[in-house]
Amino acid sequence: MSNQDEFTADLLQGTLDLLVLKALAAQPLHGLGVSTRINQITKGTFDVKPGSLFPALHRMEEAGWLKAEWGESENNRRAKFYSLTKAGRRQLETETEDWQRISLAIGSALRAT
Amino acid sequence: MSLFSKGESLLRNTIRKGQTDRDLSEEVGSYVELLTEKKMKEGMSEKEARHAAMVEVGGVEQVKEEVRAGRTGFALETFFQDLRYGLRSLRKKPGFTLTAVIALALGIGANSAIFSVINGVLLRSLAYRDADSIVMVWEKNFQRGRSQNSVSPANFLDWKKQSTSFEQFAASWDTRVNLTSGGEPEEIQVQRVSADFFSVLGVPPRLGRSFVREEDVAGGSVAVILSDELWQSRFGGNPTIVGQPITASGRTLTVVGVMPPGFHFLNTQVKAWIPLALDPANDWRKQGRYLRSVARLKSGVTVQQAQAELDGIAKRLEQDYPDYNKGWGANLVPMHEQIVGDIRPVLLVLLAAVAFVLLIACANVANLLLSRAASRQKELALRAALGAGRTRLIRQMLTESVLLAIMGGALGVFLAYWGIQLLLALAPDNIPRLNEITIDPRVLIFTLAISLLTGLIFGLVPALQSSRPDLSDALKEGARGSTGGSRLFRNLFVVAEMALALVLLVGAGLMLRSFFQLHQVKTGFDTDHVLTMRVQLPMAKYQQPAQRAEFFKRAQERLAALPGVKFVGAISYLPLTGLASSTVFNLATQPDLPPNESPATEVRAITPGYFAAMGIPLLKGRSFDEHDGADSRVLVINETLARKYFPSENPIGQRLIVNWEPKVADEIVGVVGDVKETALAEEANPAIYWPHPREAYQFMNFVLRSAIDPATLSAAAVKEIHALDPAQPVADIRTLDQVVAKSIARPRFNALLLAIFAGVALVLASVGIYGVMNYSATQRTQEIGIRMALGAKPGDILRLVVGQGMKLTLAGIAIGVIASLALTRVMTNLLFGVTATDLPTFVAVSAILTTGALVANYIPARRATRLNPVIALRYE
Repeated sequence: MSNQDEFTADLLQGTLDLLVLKALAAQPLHGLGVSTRINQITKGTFDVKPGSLFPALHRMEEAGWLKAEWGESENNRRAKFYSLTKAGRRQLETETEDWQRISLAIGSALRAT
Repeated sequence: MSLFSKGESLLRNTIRKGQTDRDLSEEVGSYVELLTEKKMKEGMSEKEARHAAMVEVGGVEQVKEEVRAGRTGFALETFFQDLRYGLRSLRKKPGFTLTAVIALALGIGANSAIFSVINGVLLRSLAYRDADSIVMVWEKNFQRGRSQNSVSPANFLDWKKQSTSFEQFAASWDTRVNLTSGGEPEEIQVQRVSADFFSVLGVPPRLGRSFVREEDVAGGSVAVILSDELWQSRFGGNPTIVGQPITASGRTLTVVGVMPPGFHFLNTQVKAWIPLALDPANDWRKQGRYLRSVARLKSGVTVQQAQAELDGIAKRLEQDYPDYNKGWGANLVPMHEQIVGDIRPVLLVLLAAVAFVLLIACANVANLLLSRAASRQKELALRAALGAGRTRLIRQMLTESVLLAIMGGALGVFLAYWGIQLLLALAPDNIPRLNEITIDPRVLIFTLAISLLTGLIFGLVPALQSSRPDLSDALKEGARGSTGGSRLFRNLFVVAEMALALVLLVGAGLMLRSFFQLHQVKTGFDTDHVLTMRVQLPMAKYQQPAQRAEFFKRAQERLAALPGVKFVGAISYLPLTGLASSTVFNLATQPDLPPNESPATEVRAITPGYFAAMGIPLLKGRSFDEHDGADSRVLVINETLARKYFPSENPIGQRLIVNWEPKVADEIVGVVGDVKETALAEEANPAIYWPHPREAYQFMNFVLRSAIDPATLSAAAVKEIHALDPAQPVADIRTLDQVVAKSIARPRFNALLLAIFAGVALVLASVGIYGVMNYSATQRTQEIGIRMALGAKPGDILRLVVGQGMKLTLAGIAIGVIASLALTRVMTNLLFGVTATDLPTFVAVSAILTTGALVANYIPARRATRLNPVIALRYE
């Protein structure tokens, strides 16, 4: 349930999507891999729990941004690996641009006196 | 998301659901494994790592449920799942389901039945073209308390000529003719109408044409238009009837048209229409007011504008003809209002009554659901543990209750269908538009809507209550003991049911009492063993008054000779049959007052023997005999006239001048008791009686008082009339009891319907309180066992259980009494001889409800006292 992960619950809608897309940009990852990678690239700020992660992964797969395949983990466990599709890469680009525009705008708004 | 990928997902999620679900389980499972391994690598023992991983994931099933909730087609899938689950769980408890569905069907069915009446009578537009532009135009006279008085032909002609607000302006009056074509002679009701009549109503004949102006003049060729019913029944639906002659009351009429089925104007008994043919040259102000006028407003003219114009015209007419018109004005009533105006309050009261029945049914089913939810706590807890969120549980419960309500609604439609048949069979024929009552799409939509609403109403509280089970408690302990909250709701529902039932019972009680009061009103005559029948002579055959007097005299002699007949008499207008004739009079000793200031009186012509046959007592003087002939100048008055105008002197020998041709002074020879002329609920008016030969009406109502069952006399009586004239029809053969019963058919109908609904409410409410008390007694089995083990006697237990139920009952009754005092006020106009706050009714109704509740409480209490304490203590 979502209240198990207070921090991500407060994330803006779409922010989680952007982080997931970014995490998968370098290589295909399984669920735990995605959550570990997000933790790394945000320097421990975001700790995405399964209750939020899996719905997001499945939603993005249905949207056609991700592709899922069963594979072997580093220590030979069966795991489902997610990778970006072409649409997913395009989505990552658009969302990155959008995010930068928004963060610039918010930043200048906050600096204004 | 592209349409294609969305469609594909929907397909995968619904069709290959099992595969997708297994996939998801495996994925989340592998996540837990990987996390455990990771934690072990970080230095935890395997046990610690697994535990930490499980905590972090926070419940595999919950995660899966979250994923499912995000999928395409989830809502639809959930709905079908809930539906399947709901059907399964309803099927598992057939007793519960049946009880709930029947309770709901009663409530919903009653609502659909009454709504279909309201739909047919009040909501559906009239069968006339653009009926909103049609208005009735009456005369009004506030001094005489008349707002819808018949119209004088003179005033009708002047209104029509001088007004500009109306497209057409027509008039009609109802009369009867003897139809001798197409079978046995039969007396039928006809409407004499002016040429514009059919265009005012905007209904063309189905065959032929309507009247033309040349036919609507005195002495014009005589045309007739048939009703569909008459055309079918007497002329076999002959398609070439138009242009053919028929004979009625000895005259030959040419059929010019046939009206479509169901067409009628204010009187459903009318079988044909004949031109009114008013002669404008006549001085109509010498005659009375007897027309009904109806007009169609020009487009853009409002009722208020037309009323204002007619007010001006009526004012001028009042000044021009003060003797005739002083105090008289015009009154416009929209057609729809005219037809349904006096039935609307009754229907609204009935609608409120059935709404109450439905609310009681809702409270009942809500209680059933609450009790059931207690026994389902384990199941619900399990579902919650398996990942169902609270919304999901509520949705599941609501799906079940709506499902119940829809099943109830479906059964309710059938009940409504039978209910309507019953209603139509019971309804008096003076309720307008009865033939238009059916279950149409609007009624079905209404039923569906109230079913859905009902399901949500009674399902909501139980769903909210039971969707938050305390997981560990519920799973550990087994379903024992309901929460305090749900007990509170159950008690509240019982109180509400009792209060609602009380209001309904009070309403029904008041109507019943009012009906019995009406029934006990003294009519002034003795209805026991009396047969009545109506004979109307054709004018063409009996033109001379003497012929008519002779016919009725000879007919009376023949009827009196029938075996079993004790007294025979006849009267022009039988009491309580609606039709009557009245005029004004002056005392011979008083100056000749103008008509509008003179006192009014009923006018009746009778044959000798009428008072004896009716059982009307002769108080003073004498009655008529065969010596009171055509040129007699005598009359008999009733008690009211004597009391009002001869308060201190003996009326016998005094003289009255009645405003009637010839205008002469008549001597009072007798005083008889008052009778109810117009309605049982109304006070007697002054009345005068003339001997029939002096005022030789062409129609008379015979009254036969017999020593034997009067119904067995009818064939012989008709035979005697036919012996005099084989072509003479005899109409309205019925007993005097039937005449009186018919006059109060509508209050009886109202009382009966409310009583039926109140009875249903009483049963539902009693069953409701029984269910709750039974459940609560079962819940307290262990407690009762302890009490008995500690020495409580059966009497104590009985008092304990019954006392609890009766506390709720009394609370409900108290609230119901307060609500009734506020609500029954709207019924004041429907009541007779009883006030809306009638104490005996309130007391009796409270007693009935208390008794019902007592019985409902006693059964479970009795069962509780029979418990074996040893078993009770172990009871789980």
